[in-house]
Amino acid sequence: MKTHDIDAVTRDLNPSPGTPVSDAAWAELSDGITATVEDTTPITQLAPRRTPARPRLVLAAACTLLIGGVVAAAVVNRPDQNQPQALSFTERGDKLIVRVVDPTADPKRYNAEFKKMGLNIKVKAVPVSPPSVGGMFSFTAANSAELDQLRPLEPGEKCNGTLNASDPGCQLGLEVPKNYTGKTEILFGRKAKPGEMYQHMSLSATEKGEALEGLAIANKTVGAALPLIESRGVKVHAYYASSDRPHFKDIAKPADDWFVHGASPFAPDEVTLYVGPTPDK
Amino acid sequence: MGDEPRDRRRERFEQVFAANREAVLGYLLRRTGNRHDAADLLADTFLVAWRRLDDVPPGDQTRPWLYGVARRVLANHVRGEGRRHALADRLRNELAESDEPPRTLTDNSPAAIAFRCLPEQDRELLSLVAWEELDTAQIAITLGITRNAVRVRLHRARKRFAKLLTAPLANRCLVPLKEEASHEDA
Repeated sequence: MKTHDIDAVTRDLNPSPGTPVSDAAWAELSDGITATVEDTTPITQLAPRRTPARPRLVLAAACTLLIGGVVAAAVVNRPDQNQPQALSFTERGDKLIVRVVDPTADPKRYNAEFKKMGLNIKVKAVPVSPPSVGGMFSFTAANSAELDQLRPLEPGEKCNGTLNASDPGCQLGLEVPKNYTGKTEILFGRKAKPGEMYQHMSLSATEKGEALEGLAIANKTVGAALPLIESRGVKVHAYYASSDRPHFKDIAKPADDWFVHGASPFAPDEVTLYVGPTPDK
Repeated sequence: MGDEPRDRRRERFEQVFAANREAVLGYLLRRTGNRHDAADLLADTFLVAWRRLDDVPPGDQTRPWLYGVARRVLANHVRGEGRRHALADRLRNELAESDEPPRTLTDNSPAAIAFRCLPEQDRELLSLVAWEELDTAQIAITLGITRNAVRVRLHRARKRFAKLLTAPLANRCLVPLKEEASHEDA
C-alpha cells in the first residue's frame, strides 16, 4: 500500500466530527484562564515542569504469534527446574526460559510468578475467539531495546530435557534475559463473555474451533447461508460489502440473492458476514 | 511574563486561543471520547499555554506545541489526575448537550481493528498526520523528538499498519518489530 492510501485509511478512522461551540462558551473559558494570573489559584500539577521537554517514550509493540492451539494443563515435576503451577522457569546461560504450563490459569497467577522471579512482566487477559484462548499474542515494552530482549518461543523450541512440541510442558514460551529490567505487558487470550467483542480471532469464522467451523457458506446466497448459520446458534452481528474493502462499514441486511464471501468471528456466537451482489472470485 | 504589559499578554493569548481552540478540542475529543473530560482537558491545556506564554512558539509551530501540551495533559488524565474547572462549565455543558454521540475507535471494521492493534506510538504518529494534518517538523515539536526520528518512526508505523490492513478479512495484531534497532536519533 502506498503512503497516501495508508494515511487515507487513518483519516477515515477519525472518530470525531467537528463540534460547534458557542462564542460565549469560548469567551468564558478564555476569560477564566487569563484571570488566573492575579488570582493565585494554584494549578500546581501543570505548572512548568522541570522534567525534560522530551516526553517519555511510550512505545508499545506487538510481536508475532507463534503459538496456536490450546494446551492441556499439566504439571511435570522435573528436578532441574523451579516449577510453579502456572509457569515454569528454566535458566539457560544468561537467559531465562519461561513456559506456560497451565494455559487456563488466571493471569494473576502468572503475574505473581513473574514477580517472584524479579521480572516486571504482567500478563493481561483479553477476550479472544476459542482457538486463541490460552495463547500469548502481543508483547509491549517501554522501548525497542527492552522489546528486543524478549523472544517468544515456538512449541518445542528450547524445551527442557527430552520434552518436545507435543509435550504440554513445552508449548507457549518466552525467552528473557535473566537480568531483564524492562517493564513488559503480554496480551494473553481469554474466553470472551457473551456479546464481548474479540480482540483477536481466526481469519475466518469457518476455521477450526470457530463458531462456524467447517460450514460451507462461501458463495452461497445470503438466503441459503443464513439458515445454516442460524442452525449453529450463531447470529450475524453485521454485514460488510466486500467492495468497501479495506474500510468496511456496516451495511443493511442485503437481499437474499446476494452472495456470502466470507465470515469473520466477532463475539461468541456472533459473526460478521462479508457479502456482495455477485459470487466471490 | 516579565514586564510585558498585561494587556499585550492577554491579547497574545487570545490570538493563540482563538486560532487553535477548535483544533486542540478536536485533538482531545478524538482521543478521549468523553465530552466532559475534553472540556476540562482543553482548559488544562490552555492554562499551561497562558502560564507559559513566553515559551509558546510563533507561526505554524504554535499548534503542534499545544498538541504536545494536550498530549501530556491527557497522559496525566489517564493516570487519574483529572480535575474539573469551573471556567470550563459552559463549554462542558455545550459539549455534553451535543447530539452527536461521542465516537471512539470501537467499531469493528477491519481497518479499526488493525488500527487498534498498532502500538500506541504508531497510532499517535499516524493520527497526527491524518487527523491533525501535521508535517514532520510539526510532529517533531509535538512529540519532542527529532525530525529524523519522526520520519523513521512514521515509516515503520505506516509499514506496520499496511501489513495489518492487507491481512484478509480479519487482523491478528501481529506486528514484527525486528527492524526497530536502528539509530533513529542519529
